Amino acid sequence: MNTDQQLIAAILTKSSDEHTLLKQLYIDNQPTINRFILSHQGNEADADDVFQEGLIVLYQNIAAKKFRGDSSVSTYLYAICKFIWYKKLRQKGRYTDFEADYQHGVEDSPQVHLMATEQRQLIKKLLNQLEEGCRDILTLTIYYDHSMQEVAEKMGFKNEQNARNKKYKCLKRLKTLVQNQRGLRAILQQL
Amino acid sequence: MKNNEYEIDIIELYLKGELSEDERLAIAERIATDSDFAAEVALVKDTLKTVNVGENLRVRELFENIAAEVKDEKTTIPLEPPTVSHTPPAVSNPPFFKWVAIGVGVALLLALAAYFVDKANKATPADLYAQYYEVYPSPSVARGNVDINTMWVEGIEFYENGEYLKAVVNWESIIEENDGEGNYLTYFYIGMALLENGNAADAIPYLQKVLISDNDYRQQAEWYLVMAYLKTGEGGLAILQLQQIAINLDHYKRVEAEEILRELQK
Repeated sequence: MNTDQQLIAAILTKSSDEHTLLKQLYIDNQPTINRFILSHQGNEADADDVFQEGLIVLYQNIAAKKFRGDSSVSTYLYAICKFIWYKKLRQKGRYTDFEADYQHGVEDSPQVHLMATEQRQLIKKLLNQLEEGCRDILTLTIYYDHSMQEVAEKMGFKNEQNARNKKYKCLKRLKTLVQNQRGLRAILQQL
Repeated sequence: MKNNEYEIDIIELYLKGELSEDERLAIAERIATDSDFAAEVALVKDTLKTVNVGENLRVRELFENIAAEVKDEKTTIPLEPPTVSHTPPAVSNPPFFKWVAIGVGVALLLALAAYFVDKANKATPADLYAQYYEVYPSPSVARGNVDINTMWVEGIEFYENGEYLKAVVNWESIIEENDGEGNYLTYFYIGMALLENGNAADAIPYLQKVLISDNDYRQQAEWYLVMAYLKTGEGGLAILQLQQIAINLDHYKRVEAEEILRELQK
């Protein structure tokens, strides 16, 4: 198994070496992205932002199985960062000749980086109140859109129906927590 | 399935836009007429959004932590403390500072050595051109959109005999008669003849013209544009063109493009 395959497997299974492999990906690719942004009207801060955003999109696309492994992970990350940067330039009116070549699989994430620390803490605290495995099953099915069968296999449920029952219980519990959390709706509406 | 479970399931599918048109309309109508149900939908919507925001936060913080770790490691210079130093420090040359000085010196030497080894291993655009450039086969007499005419056929003979500039003159005359996107094959081979003749900078505009229209030679033109940029030392443009190739899953030179990218980005 090569490094790319190891990384993809680690993200999909949330294995313990995920952090180490992601850190290596970060170290290997940060200089390239930095050079690209600096040579395309950007500064160091832009380079940091774009690289960070690019890594998040890459991670989420791998977790959602949108990345099919047709190119190397590094090439894919580079293409995503280019897309993000060209989009930012276009928004700033500094780049008008944009082609949508880099849009494959790239999606914007909600503006969570604009959230205040207390708001972040509130959401985290809420999710931490869920019982073991609940957060994973909800994230996999709701955020990453994995099928119940995939979730059952990945999380070691006896069958698909057991996984479905667990998801229902978790969702119901979170719904109650959300209902009782004052001020949450206002935070969510800002995003 | 229990009733409640069915309800929450249906609402989730509705919010994700995964219901059929009839089902969607039925839910929409119920929301409009049943305020309790509307409140339930709003609550499920908030619940799903909480999951999504929570995951976004988790991934964001994961990379924020990695960025902080990498930054810390870059700014920390590891210095080994002196291992044996039981004698009292000498006034004129304290051993600790001596160790620090040696440590810094060794670290600098290692960094310099790594830099030069890396430099020595990195392939230049000229190296990559030499490694990857291959002559593209000469055109057939009747190929693509070019009519069989004397100038074309004679140009092919020149090309095959290595008389590239004569081939260019012949093919230029075809373009002079009828310039336009339809001449992509002629543009391509003029570009190739110029490349073969060592005029990479002159070949670039011809190869770029091939990319204006959708045709059978786009991929070849993209690849030889990379070669031309490598030949002229324009590594930045080569990287941009290589990126275009690398993300095209069907490109006949995708693997080679990724190999060159890795070399250029070392």
